[in-house]
Amino acid sequence: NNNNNTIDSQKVIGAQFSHIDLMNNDHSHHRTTSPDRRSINSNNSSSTTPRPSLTFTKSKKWYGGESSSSKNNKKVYDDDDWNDDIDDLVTPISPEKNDKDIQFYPSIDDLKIDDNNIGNLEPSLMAKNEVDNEQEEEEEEDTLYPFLKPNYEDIVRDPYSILTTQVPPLGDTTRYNKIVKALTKQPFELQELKKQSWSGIPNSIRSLVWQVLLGYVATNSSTREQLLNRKRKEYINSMTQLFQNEKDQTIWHQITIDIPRTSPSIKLYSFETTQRSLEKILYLWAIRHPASGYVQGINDLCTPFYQIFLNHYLKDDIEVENFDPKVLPKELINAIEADTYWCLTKVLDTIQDNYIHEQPGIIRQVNELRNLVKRDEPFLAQHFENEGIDFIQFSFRWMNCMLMRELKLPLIIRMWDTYISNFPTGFNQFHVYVCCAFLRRFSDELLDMDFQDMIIFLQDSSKTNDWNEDDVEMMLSEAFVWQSLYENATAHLK
Amino acid sequence: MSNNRKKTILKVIILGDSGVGKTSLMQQFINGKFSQQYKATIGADFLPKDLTIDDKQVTMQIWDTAGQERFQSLGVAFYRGSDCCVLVYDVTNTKSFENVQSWRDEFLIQANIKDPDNFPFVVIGNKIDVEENKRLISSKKAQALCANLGNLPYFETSAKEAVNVEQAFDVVARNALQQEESLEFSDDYTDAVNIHVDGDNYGSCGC
Repeated sequence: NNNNNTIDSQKVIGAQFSHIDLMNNDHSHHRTTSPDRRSINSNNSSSTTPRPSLTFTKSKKWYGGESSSSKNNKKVYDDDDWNDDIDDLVTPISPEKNDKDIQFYPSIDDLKIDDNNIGNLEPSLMAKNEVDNEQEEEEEEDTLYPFLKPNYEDIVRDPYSILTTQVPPLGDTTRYNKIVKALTKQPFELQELKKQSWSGIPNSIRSLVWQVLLGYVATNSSTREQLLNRKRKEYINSMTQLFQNEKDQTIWHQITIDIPRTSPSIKLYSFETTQRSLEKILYLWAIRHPASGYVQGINDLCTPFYQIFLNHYLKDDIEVENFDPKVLPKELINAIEADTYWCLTKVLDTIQDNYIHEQPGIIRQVNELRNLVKRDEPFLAQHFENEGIDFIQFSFRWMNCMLMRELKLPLIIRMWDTYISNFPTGFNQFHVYVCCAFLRRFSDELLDMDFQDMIIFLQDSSKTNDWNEDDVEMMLSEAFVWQSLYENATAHLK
Repeated sequence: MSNNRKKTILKVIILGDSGVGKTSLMQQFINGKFSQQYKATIGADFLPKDLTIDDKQVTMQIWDTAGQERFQSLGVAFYRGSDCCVLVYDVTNTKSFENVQSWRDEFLIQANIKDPDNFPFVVIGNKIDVEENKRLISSKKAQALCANLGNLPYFETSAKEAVNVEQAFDVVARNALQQEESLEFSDDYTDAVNIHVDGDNYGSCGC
């Protein structure tokens, strides 16, 4: 690690990516320098068609062996799962076999991201005519994609590139500057970035900050592109592999009936391209997590990532909520999908017991909420009891969908700034305190209601229609205070 | 005596596979509208409706549950104390029809129903607005199942076009009321029931 930092300190972080970084062969100490990486390079130099030379081995993890370990040891399961790409990827296959496999791929288009990326990174290895046309193509792209940021290709390769061209937001730039400083600080301090992001992240850099906080995008500029490229490639390969096999009909049916019901009020989610992307992401996640499979509500959790990552590439005057991604280049859609998949996986890893058999994570959180309310709002807890209301009747959904059914998406996205800054406890422990603060906001109204009116009120999402970010921030601050208070109290009892 | 009591509350629960139209049926019955935009139900949604059944004022409280199997362990929290259970399937989805019986069995266990043979269920085959060739479950087949499960009332509905929804829920309400009243009766005369049971046991031992 020290070694990495030394290399880093000589670079200007946030500067546009240089091809030299990737050509630099001194990667022997990074995990990316696995046999597969070398085999890609060697393939490229011998052939003008740089196909991915990787495939998935049918390891037991991939096909469901993980469920046995998951029940007893969640932590091990999570780590195992998160890292299993490495196990899968280090098994290179011969080019002959790869070529054969490609004939059976349902969509060759799915593989094109690799052509493109590798092509751009290593122009000398591209086919001659492609090189000749490169200049022309770039010029065409400007007019082809007028809605994309001019340097979107750099941003795809290295999300930090957003910092080089990004104009700081109008008005108060203090927060923006502080976050950018934390992002680029050498050596990088995660705690500092978490601290600066807790109170909200400007939309222009949100995608990058989320990905860094979740540990998806590396802060080390010498490995960042490679790691990212590798994750995206793995996603594409997994997807191709996945759809070669017969579908799990139960999971697939459930996903396909939920996709049209995902954020139906936002136009972005009514478009074919969006729906097919979400479908693939959810199906891959479900198949790779057999202990839970797909559970309704996970579709909701997918949307903030998809939307924010898409927004990352759009010019500031384009409204992401109404944008039809159909017009995007295929490789960009692939990158957005892959990033969404991996970041969703990161978050779900921290709440996986919410979705396994009998949903013990949710039951625990509902019990915690009940206990908190008993201590914080004893009158309300008593009123619930008198009226025969059980917490599970209204708060199950709060836990299962992370309050996404109770608040509008822009507010959820603001909330996730804080949750992701609290990663990996934001989506489980902290969330319970947020739910408690949420309930307390309506305490006075609820105390005047009977069973029927309370259930209707609690389930009615229109009660937050007039909420803005201030309301959310107040709720988050209150949750933070109570959490600090109780965590200290518990420590004291120990 | 009953006039002095609080307004009668009938608790109704709607069960069935995901996507068969439970939320749409409830929305059609309560608000008289249909939308393509419902999100998938998580846990259970709740809607009440005031009704008059043969001059008697009642409030029907409907719990519209999530259809995905993963949520079934939640059942206890929502099933308890139900006066009628509506089993919904989609006439274009064979699996959802085949699952009607398991939804019933699951309900009887989780709701801890004392007298399963007499508990009121109503079966609804929804989405009859689809073209004839998309329909996979015939009326005959459905009626046979309902006969088999103890002559359960059966309705074919379209929540989308408001066909038969009122009629189905009218029977739901009447049967729920009957159930509610029979429960009140047995609550008042618990001792009598026990004596009856004891008598039976005594009789069988005597043989």
